[in-house]
Amino acid sequence: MSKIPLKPLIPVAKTIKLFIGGEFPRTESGRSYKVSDLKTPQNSIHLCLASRKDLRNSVEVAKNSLKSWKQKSAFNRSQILYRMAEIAEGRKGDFLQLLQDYFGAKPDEAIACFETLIEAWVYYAGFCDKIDQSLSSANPVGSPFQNTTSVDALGVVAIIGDEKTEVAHLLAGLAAVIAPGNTAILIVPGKLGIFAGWLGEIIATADVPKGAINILSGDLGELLPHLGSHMEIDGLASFVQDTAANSSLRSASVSNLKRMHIFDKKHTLGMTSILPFLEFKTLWVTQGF
Amino acid sequence: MASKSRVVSRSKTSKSLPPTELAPPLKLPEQAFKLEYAPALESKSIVSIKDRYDLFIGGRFISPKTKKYFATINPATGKKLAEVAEAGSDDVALAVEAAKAAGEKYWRTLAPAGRGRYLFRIARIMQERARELAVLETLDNGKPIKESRDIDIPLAAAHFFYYAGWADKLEYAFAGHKMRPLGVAGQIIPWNFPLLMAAWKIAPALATGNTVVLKPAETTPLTALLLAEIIQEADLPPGVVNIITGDGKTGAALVEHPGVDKIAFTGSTEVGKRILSSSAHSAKKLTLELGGKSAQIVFEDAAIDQAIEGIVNGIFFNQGHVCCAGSRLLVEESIADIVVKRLKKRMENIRLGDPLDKNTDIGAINSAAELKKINKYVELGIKEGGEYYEPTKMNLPTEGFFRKPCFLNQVSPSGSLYREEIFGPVLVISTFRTPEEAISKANDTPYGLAAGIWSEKVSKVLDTARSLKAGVVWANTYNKFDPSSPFGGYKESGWGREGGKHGLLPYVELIKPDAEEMKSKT
Repeated sequence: MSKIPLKPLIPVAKTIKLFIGGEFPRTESGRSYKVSDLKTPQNSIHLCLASRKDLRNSVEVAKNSLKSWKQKSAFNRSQILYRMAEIAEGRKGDFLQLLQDYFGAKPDEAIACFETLIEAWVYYAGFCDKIDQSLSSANPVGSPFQNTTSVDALGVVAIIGDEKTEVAHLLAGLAAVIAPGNTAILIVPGKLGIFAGWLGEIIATADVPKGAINILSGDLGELLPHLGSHMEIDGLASFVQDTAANSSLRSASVSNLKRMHIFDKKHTLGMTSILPFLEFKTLWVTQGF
Repeated sequence: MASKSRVVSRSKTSKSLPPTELAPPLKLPEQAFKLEYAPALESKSIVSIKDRYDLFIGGRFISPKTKKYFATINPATGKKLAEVAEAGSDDVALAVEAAKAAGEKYWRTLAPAGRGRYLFRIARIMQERARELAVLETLDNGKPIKESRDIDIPLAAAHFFYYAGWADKLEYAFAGHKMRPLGVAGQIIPWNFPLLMAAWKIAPALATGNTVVLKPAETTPLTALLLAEIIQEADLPPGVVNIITGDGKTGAALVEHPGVDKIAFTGSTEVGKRILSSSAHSAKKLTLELGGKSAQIVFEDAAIDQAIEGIVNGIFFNQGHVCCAGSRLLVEESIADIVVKRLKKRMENIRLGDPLDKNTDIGAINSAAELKKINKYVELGIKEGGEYYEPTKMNLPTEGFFRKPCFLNQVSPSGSLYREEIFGPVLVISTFRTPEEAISKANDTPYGLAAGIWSEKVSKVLDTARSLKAGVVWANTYNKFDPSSPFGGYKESGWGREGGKHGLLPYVELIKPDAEEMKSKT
């Protein structure tokens, strides 16, 4: 039997879906939006337009996942973040391709962006088990107590970018948020949504507990008020540079006094990027017998 | 209660006895409990209260542009103590300008060690005038003199002393980071610890190079105004600290003033949310120290006598006007009866009365409005089915605002009293069967300020502490404070910490000297 060659070659395009609770569901709303391939318009793809219900599902799994992610040893979280960088290296080609096809990046620009991302992931991988040592304190109280302040994760943090956000900086911020044990919902609106698949596949294979990182593509304007008002979201990390959007997000977040941090356009590697997503717990233990 | 004595666990007693067979309480002759305390009044003569107080702006006391004054009363008698100025928005503007100018002209041009020198000096004068401050605090607030004398005032002075030392060592606080002050800090403080809260706010702000506009609470402005005199005496450059009096409107004007770079607020969660709403559209940095509904967890292996003292101190300290009051008691079911029985017995011996009497454990409720609110909550709790108890032999003074300490037993976790902050001497009691249940009950609140754990088993204490969502956890003690110990809450109990090196963070921007921006372009 002779093979009939497919000519011209018919490529198999990948469907990009949401990433919630370690799975790749389509949006429950059944809605989608189109993102154009700048070079070959016929390769344009439809991404999931996540709904409020998708957001709520993500928050629920993220909250449940706190147990497994926060309770892991800091060293273990460190290894998992490093693993993410390792797997990303293996998928470098896809990342560069996406940047060039959908964002019109030049090859050297795409490579620089990828290097930035890997640098950040490795940086924060090595930070997980240094946070407590850098920020804890033994407090010399003037009474017979052992008094220590230690670091705790904030909880569920939503990370928000907009179409102007550079993907490497957004994903660097993701690493800063999860390093201390927070779980995350990453909002990648508009064409940033094309990274949902690439990132989801890395997370799904890097031993990140299911639900610790969730990714939603969609419309920022639609999701913002719900992000602000959701009572189970503890923190907001905004890469959005639009002042009005951030103000309305802050106003909407009054209900449960969410901690909100607005990142600069360029992510600065360092403790200041982790600090906004921490709580400090001070323990007094009676000394004496 | 709330004395400075050491709270020491007597592990030997409980180790030798299974929890259900606790040693019976010491049998003393009946007469021992009938001892009357003769009044031991602290003299008022040490403090001279003026008829009228003006605003402290730019290093001078000036009359308000509003030309209005309001009265502050002694809650133990209901009588007027003095009149204080009501600052309007023009006065707020003047104070903010004075703070801004002082920052540029004096405070930020001064060597860091110089800032420290001034703070040390303020601390010392506070210590020298401690008794005067204590008596004035008790008169204006209603808290027992033994608390203002032994806790509020010494701690307030200690705060200035502690942060004075940080002023020229800021680069050591967070390795690899320098600190930059934010500018003018607008600070609004509550009436429950008037001078102590002023110290918590002013000391770290000044140590880090900020200048201050402070608004004390409407019902307790007098010690802050005496602090203004102390600040004058310490010769602090004019305008570095400005103290303006007024009510919520004055506070709102301060929050909204565009010249304020940082807002620090201590008070109710409700007002905190309002402040957040009104500042959402500005770039002002905000820290909030808000309400709580803190749990005291008593395990069956606790040293019961110490736990009883801790429960009493936890909820009745300062008439329960404490944001971190241990207002929800969670007792392990197996010891619930004995704990309640001993708590009742202990409460019979609480001395309520004249706050100036050195014997007094519980003083006056701060205002008629607060007393009304507390009583309303108690009625509601009884209506919702809680078993009410108050000391039977206790008499209330005939004048002033007083309220018997009390508890409601068998309160359902869905009840209003279990969920809402009462801010008075009202304890609710509920039971649990497993440590998991205790933790989940303790965390089942939108608040997250503090918690107490009572157990003689270290591993249980540490594991419980780790699982509690609370900014301060006291193990086998409660309501302990220290300038070096960070204080502040999770969740809706606030943003940020006060005290310790973490208490510097709300007043600075951390600068990483070698901050290298990631240079990528997508």
